[in-house]
Amino acid sequence: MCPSISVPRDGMLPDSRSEAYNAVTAPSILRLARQGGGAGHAHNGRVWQVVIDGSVVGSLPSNETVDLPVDAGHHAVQVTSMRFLRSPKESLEVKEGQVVGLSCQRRPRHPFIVQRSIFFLVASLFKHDLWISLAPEDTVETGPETDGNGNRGRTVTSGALRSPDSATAITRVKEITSAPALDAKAGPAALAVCQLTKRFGQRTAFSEVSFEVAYGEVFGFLGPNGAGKTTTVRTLGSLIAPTSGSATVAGIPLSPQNGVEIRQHIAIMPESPGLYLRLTVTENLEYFAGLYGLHNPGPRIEKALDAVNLADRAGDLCGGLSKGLRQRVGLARTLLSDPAVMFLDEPTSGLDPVAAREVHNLILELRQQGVTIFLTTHRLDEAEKLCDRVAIMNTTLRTVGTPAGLRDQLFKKSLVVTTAEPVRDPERLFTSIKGVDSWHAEGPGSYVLSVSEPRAVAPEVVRGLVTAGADVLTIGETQHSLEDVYLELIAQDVEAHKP
Amino acid sequence: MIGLDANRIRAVVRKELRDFRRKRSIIVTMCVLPLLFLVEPVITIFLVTPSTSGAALQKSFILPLLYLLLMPTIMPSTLAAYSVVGEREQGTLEPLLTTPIRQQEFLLGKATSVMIPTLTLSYVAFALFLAAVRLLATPVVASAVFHDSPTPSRCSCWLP
Repeated sequence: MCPSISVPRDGMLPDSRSEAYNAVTAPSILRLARQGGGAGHAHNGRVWQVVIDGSVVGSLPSNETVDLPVDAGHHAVQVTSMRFLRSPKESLEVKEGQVVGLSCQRRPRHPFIVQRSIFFLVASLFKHDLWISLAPEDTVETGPETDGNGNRGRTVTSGALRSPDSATAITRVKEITSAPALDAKAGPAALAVCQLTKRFGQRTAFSEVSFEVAYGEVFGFLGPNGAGKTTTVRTLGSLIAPTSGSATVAGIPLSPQNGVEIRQHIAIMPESPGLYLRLTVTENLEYFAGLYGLHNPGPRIEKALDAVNLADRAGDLCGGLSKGLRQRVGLARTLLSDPAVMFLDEPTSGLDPVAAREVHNLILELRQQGVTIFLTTHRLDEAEKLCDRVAIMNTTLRTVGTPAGLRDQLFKKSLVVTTAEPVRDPERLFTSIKGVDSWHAEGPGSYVLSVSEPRAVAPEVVRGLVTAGADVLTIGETQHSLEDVYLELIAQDVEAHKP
Repeated sequence: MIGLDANRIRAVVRKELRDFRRKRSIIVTMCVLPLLFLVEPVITIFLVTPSTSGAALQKSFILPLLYLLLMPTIMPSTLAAYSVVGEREQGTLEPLLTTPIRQQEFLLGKATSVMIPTLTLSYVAFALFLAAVRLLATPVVASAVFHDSPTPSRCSCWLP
């Protein structure tokens, strides 16, 4: 693993996030084992997709067992390699606490190529769900357990489909579902970027960028124009290939071969929503739902439109919508596929304050649900309000950390004191107070004191001033915003590049 | 079709056809072009006199009939040009490329969506031409068109 330059995450996420995680953790598990594979079959190397109740929920590589958390109840399960190569739908009744097993394998091929081709054609047209067999296996009753870290888990006690490597299977579950990890150490990172570099000829878009984003985290990506933010998003979204370095997106290594699988598990909202203006809102979303392979997109579209408060405009042509409404349609589009990682490239760009606040609320809601969000923005107040951590970038990564952590890193803590009249001998007074490192006057009767512990030193300062006969009007800790941090870092860059 | 997802291809085709239907210039082009290409053969067929000898009769309508074959070559290029330019004009290419669609699926979807309306219109134009010959041309000419040499119906077999 690439050595991370990031400031460590400060512990667990807030309690509300833990509750959200518990709420989305499914009580039952569907265990799918794919048998056969390796040499001999052209399709055995391909990753199959698992479709539960019409939605693609995960992928299934050759000779692997995958655990999928599902809600208790009735489910229709299907495994597809492509449209013409899929299993029949298997109806299952899953009870709470059950691990339900399904084994699937490709049916043996006919030895003669002519018969095989005829069968392929006929199966494609009429009975194309003959190619993968899907058979129920032993159902394993288990009870919920908790490991030492407080994470919920299960122990399989019996059954033919016992995973050959339970730890691998559980890891795979975390990779393919959007369930959030509470801490970067608790599971694989949603995004792990290592020394990633992109050059266009002689021009470097970004260089040696390394960071990690945990599942369920809202990660802000800040930087001036031309800093390489959008190019980073495009690279991580497998739209363009990096020049060097490596990355893992939603648990999948970034490579041209994995591009389709990566894009199946992420959603990117570009700066410009890019809608088909002669189609209605619903038609636009139907189109993209089709591209994500969603079989019954109606309810998903309704849910996505409700989330962005556009249900009443579903039938309107996108060409007749304002920029803000188009932006919201773009956001609804990213919600369609339940992505594990969501890349939002300046989602509030060009929006009025009310519309921007609605987008903020939506991001906060998604955060509550545990969706990992990679937010590129110019608006520092937005990043400060929404993000667990932020990265500041200017071709190279300047820093990564929590907004509070970055403030503490860059700025000394200080107290601002104002008095009715200027203090007679401030040098003697302030240097005599324990805890005051240095001081300077900002005007008549206004002083800034550098301190290490503002809360402990403030009463001492007030006592000292009163003893010296000064009338204290105000005393307070200096508040540095993320904007100060940003400007300080970018100013350092500008200084460094001066001839 | 190995490795391609028919669902995605179908989504592209459905979207393209919807988009074509809503674009007025496409509708006008798709109506006017077949009519233009239909007028010349029909007029030529009507101008042929029943007394024309067999070889001369064939020669007189072979060339105009080629106009009908221009339809399935010109109309797809018009639609395809719009299809690509439209994506670029509306800035929809980037969001599209962020989805799991493969290049082959995208191109196949585009090609299919262009092929469906142009083939349909071409066959409709051929059918109109044959109906016009059957109903309005003199029996000798109609017989020559239907039974001798490269008739539109025979040509049309080679369209796909």
